[in-house]
Amino acid sequence: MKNLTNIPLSLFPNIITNKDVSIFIREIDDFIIKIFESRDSLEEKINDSFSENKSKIILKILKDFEIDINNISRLNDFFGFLKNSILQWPTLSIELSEELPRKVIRRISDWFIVNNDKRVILDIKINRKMLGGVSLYVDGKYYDYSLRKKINEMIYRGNLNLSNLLSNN
Amino acid sequence: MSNYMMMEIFQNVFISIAFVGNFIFLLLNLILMFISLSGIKKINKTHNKFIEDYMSKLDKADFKVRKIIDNTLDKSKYIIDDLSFRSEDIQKQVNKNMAKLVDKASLEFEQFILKLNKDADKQTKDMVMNMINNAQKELFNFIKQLKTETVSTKQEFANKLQNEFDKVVSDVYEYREKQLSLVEKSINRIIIKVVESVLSEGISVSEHERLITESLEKAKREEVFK
Repeated sequence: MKNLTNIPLSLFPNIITNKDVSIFIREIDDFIIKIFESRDSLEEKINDSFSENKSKIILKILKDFEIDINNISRLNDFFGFLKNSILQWPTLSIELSEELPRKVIRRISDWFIVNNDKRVILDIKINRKMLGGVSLYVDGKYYDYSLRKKINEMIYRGNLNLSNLLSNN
Repeated sequence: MSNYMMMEIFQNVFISIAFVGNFIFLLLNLILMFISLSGIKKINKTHNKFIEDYMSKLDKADFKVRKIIDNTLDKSKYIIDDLSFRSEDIQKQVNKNMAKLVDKASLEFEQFILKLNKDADKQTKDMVMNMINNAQKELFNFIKQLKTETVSTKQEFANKLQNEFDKVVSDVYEYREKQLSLVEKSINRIIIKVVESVLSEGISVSEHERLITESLEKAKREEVFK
């Protein structure tokens, strides 16, 4: 059996927002209760408790760390450790003007992998006054890249033009 | 002589001596008692005499004190009576003198007033003449000053008018700027509302995504994610 190290976010490509994290933690809590409930095999319990994709990843991690899947105590320790790892995953708070489809959110998440060499959990809040664009909270600072800000700046400069507004920066 | 006999004689002698000793001791006690009794009697007698003398002295002192108080009261009464009499006398004297003084003062005052009336006639005439002269002078000066001031007032009035005009122009300009600013703000508010309503309905999901991606790229250029 190997020593446990922090389990990286990159192992779970489908966890992209803080809502996904909340669901995953709830699934882990349910599973920990189930460990002691029935006599079904623990592998079955894992498959029942998590989505197919997550189950596969969890079983692979257990195998990599050489954790005996039938050892209830070790399994309990592992999921406690996994929860702690999840709470340490990097998070970025962003504001959007409206709810966007998951595929768009995924692409936003992917943008960070490509452009920032780093996966982050997106903590998304909706602010309809923004009209479009994005606002970011980084290290306690607020960065406003919203469409409303752009409009206000154009009006202030006296060159408001809708075609300019939606054009590239 | 046997030892036994010797002891008996010695014993009898000792008893005799003891008896005589006791008798002498008793006698001495009686003498002391007698002396003590006579001493006490003598002390009592002396004490009584002292008390009698003391009481007698107290009586005498009391009598003297009463006598002094009576004398003092009599003298006080006499002095008070004398003073009352004298004060009445003094009062009468003062009243008399005051009457004399008032009479004298009244006479002097009457004479003074008569003299004052005579002087006043002359002074009044002089005063009226002075007043007329002064009034004439002041009137002349006033007319002279009025003539010169009319000229300077015209200039002053023109200056004031110019200042007022400048101020009004400045106020009008300020008011115009303020109103323009308010109009501009209202126009901006309307523009924002129109843009909001157009954009909220008109921006597609892909447009949103493009705006977001552009915003993130701008943030990257500005080193927000360093």
